[in-house]
Amino acid sequence: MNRAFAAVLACVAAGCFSNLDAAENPAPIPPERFDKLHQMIRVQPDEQRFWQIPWKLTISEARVQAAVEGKPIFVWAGAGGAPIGVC
Amino acid sequence: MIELLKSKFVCVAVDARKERGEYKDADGDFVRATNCVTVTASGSICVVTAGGKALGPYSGPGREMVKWLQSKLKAWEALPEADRTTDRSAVKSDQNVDPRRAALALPNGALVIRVFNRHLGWDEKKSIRYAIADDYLPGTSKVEAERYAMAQNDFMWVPEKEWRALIPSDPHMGQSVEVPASFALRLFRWHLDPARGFTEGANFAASRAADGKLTMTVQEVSPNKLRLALVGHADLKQTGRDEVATFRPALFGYIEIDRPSSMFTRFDVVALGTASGLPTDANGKVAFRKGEYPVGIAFELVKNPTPAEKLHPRGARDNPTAYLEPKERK
Repeated sequence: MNRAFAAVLACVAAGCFSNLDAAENPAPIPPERFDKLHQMIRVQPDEQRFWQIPWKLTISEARVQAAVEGKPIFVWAGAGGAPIGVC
Repeated sequence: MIELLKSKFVCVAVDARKERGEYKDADGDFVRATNCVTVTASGSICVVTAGGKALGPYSGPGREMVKWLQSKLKAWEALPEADRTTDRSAVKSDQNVDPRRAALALPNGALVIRVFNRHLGWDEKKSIRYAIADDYLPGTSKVEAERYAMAQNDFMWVPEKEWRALIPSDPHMGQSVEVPASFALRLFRWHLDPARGFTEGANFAASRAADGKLTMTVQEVSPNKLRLALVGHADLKQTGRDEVATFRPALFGYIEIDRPSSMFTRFDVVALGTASGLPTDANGKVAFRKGEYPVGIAFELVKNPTPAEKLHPRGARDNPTAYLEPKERK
């Protein structure tokens, strides 16, 4: 993560959640802070870089493309699901 | 490495357990014949040819991956011409697809929402900040802590019948309506789970619609546009092996619809709250963190999903019908 960017976002978001007390219900999210908060939580440019790859989700789709383009196939498997998301 | 993979390989991401053990179709047969997938908790990597010749699995540390990929490219280039060229018509792509695989395809008309989980921390003033190494259990390395602090990934599907029910038929400014129970159930059971991205376990799969409240209020309405504010909260609990898992987020966001086409143009929502007893690993043990800590979850619309963005949600993995049409348990 870009640390400078992270620090800025954290500071921006800080004020509205200082009353997020773990022992009580969560404070409502103020609408005026929503955009900054959403931006802070969502993926950052240097995270999940594997999503820059145009993944196929089936072997047969990969085989067809590999045959057309003359390339080998890189297979990434996860025990609990496709590792790009289902885990 | 990303550029090498993009330019020199065709990349595919699959479910090892299903491909090896469940799917009885051409893809499952290919996986079993080439042994290109291994069921391990840490995942597996392999290079194969389109014709079904395995060039070998990867088993080294991450920093050696580029060298390994380059060696596999050389091995591929050294293959006889017949092994490198495969007639695409010989690939049986759509024939006899296992119905369990077909059931995990994106339903026609469904909305695709990207979901990002992020574990956060509190500073000394109890303001949220990005998580740091000190937030994790002693012995957690800096590299591990940075990985845990990153956004994790899932998708949410909203079936057409349900997203149509989200749109008020005769909207007027200030009008408030509760979301359909099925929408709340899906969200509470599968998409407000701080464990997503850390383990395949699901912490709140037994949640009820009454475990939270989600209200939409009309903020803008014109012949062409409808904007709704989604506001709510949830109080999720589930007994764990070692301690009760909890997550109590507030939710807020905006949903926008192009009225002439009934197309969603925005679905930006945030959930932010306190979690404890999470996440658990595959054995049910509490891992990574102890005590209470903040978690944020961001949702955003995928307008034109790529093939990879049609990946099924974790919640649909074991029972797609129960995910798409969730019902209250009796």
